[in-house]
Amino acid sequence: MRHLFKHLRKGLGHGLGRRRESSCPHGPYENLSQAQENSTVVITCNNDHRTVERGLCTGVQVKVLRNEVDEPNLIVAVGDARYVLDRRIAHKIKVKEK
Amino acid sequence: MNKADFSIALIGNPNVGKTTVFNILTGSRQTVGNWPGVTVEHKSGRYSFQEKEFQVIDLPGIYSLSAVTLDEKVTRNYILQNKPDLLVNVVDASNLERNLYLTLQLLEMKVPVLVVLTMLDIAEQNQVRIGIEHLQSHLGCEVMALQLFRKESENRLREAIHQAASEKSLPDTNISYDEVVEDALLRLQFNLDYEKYGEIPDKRWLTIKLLEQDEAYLAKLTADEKSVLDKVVKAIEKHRGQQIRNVIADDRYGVIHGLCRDVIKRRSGLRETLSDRIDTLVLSSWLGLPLFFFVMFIVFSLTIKASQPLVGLINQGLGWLFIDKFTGLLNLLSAPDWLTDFMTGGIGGGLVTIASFIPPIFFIFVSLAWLEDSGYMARGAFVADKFMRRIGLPGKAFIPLLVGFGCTVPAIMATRTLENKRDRVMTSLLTPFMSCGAKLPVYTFLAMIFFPKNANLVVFGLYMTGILLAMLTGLLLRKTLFKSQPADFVMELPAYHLPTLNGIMMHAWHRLKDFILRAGKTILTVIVVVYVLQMITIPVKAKTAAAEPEKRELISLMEIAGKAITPAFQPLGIAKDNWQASVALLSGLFAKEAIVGSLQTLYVTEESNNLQNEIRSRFGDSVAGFAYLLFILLYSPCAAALTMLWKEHGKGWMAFAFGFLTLQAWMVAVLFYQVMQIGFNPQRSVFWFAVITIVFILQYHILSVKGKSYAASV
Repeated sequence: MRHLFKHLRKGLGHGLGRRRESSCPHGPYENLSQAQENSTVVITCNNDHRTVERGLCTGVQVKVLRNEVDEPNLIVAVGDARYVLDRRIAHKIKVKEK
Repeated sequence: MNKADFSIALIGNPNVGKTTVFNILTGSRQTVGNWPGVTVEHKSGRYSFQEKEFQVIDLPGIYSLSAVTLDEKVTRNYILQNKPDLLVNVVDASNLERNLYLTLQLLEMKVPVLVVLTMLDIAEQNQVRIGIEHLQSHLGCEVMALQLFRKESENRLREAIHQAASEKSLPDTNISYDEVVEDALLRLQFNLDYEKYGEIPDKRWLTIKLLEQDEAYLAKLTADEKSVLDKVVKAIEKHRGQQIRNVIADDRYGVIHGLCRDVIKRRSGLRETLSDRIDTLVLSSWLGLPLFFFVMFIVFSLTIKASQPLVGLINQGLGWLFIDKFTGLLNLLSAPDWLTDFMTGGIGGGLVTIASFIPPIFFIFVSLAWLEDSGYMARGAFVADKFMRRIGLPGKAFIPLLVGFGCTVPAIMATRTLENKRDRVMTSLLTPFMSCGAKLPVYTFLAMIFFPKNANLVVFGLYMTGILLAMLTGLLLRKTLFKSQPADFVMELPAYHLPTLNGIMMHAWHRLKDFILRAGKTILTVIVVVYVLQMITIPVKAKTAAAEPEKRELISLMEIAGKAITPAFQPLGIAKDNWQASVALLSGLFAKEAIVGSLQTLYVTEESNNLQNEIRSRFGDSVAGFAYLLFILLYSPCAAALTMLWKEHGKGWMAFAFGFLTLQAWMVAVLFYQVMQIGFNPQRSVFWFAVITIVFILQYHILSVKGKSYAASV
């Protein structure tokens, strides 16, 4: 019964339009799109290969240079590189505070 | 051309000065084209050094050799198939970590590599110092620092290339991965039969590619090999909690971070650069947008305003040469009239038209190169992205749209700066909504006739209507044909630097040459064909009084076609006997400014020699005049722009642009005319509202269906 209830709750969650976060085995961290402007965060999980290849890989420090909620993009600093990052990608990158 | 002694290829990330190195090496001995079958630019050149001939290929700027993007595929295939004597890896010293990712992939391929460090001045500015010898020992290949525009340094580069290409020594570094990955590599190497892959650069490299799930190589695996691979991949992914491709990329960066800690000395712990400080101003919420519009204003002024006098000069000069003088020459040779007309009006006129595109194309590419090279393009795209995204386009699409106000041809060419095909096509379809320079004389001419008191206001209104309808069409296309969002992007903000005049001019010149050689020929053919259609006349029965004997008169094919299509324009206020208006629209397909000439010729009759009154009376009222203007604003772009669409995106998109834009023009013009006529003839207006609604619904449905298949194909 409890098992069924769990499924039901999951189903309701979807029905109400709640988006499931992409699965990350490293725990419930916030994603990069939620990181505060001027904060420095550490990537805990990134499954977007394109950004991993540009240096946004696990364990790397990212400084959020710009993150305004009404803008479609963020600006981040990774090492010496600066990227404009689509919010949709930033949403998939899990981070923790430094 | 003689076979070169050495073939070398330049490879590196975008914005690292690769093209500058290419220009330094080859000077003006360059050819630009496309890689076979794809729209990726292929640049090659030659130079001689110490009596040896070097062929240089400038490969596309890439971040990785994963062969995901078209650029990456082209680059990797070139390296594997052409086996150049040397790969010159241009590396930005001010961003060493990210640049070394590609370098490591090259070293893994075991191909001859020479690393050339550029932008050392910016690195120095950022208080970063690189131990070059130390880096060389880590990488196991030759590394040299290049100071651009210093003769001595440039000669050292040629010397180093000569030496490395002669020696062809392979890098001796092995990149070590995590233990679990190394175990997997060993196990796979033991189980794989490499023979079937033919000539490969290195076994370990191929094994890594298989681990990375590279589709180009996976297909050849046997079932047993595939099962071993799947097992090891599963084990690694379980152990690391990441997809295998990201495990490999992570480990490469692990190696790079260790290496950089060794070879880079930072005098300041802070990584805030001069570019960061400039960006706090350039991208700020209060200055970002005004600055963006200011820069765009400069681009517009340069492209349109600065090229206008040159276009005038070209038209006059070449018109004198190819038309006036040529006519004189042919008359002197007693050539028949039809030949003189064809040679001067068709070919001569066509050449003048193509030449008139040269100044705006040259200036737009000067502007684009300046924006790209200075680093502002990425910033501008960031600023414009906020509002462009709403109509389903990325920020960079603003530039082609702006150029559309000058001429649609360079505007379509400027869509090349967009990375994604969907974005390029959608932007190209919206550029004709921006009233080009050739439409302005048409607007002025007709507005002066129909609205003599408010002509300025009407012309301004037409420009604004174009912008508004571009936005609405953008929304329509976003909901139907291009259902996907603009590509989610990761865009680098390169460090600001001062572009070089030489680099900008080279870039603009190559684009211009490309236009003349590739599009120019087709545009000329199209213009000549349209001209011939205009010239061909056939005898038809003339309208004569019953008492007079039957006469036959010659009328052009264009006139016959114009008369045939006139009924379609009746709902927008063009009466059946006003066929001259339809013929003028057909001539507008040749070039928009031709509409004025056609109207001037066609409306002059024996009975009335007041052109303005004649046009006004034939249209009936100013409402029909405005509906006609709306149609001119929106219908198919001219032959040259259609040809450009064909060259850039294919015949299908050209045909779609012709049909779709003409249909939109018809719907908007009819809607306007019938709304204004509702008081006089409500039944007819309601009928046409119903027709437009049905056509719109049908169009929406067809676009949605096509959109699904398009999304699946991309």
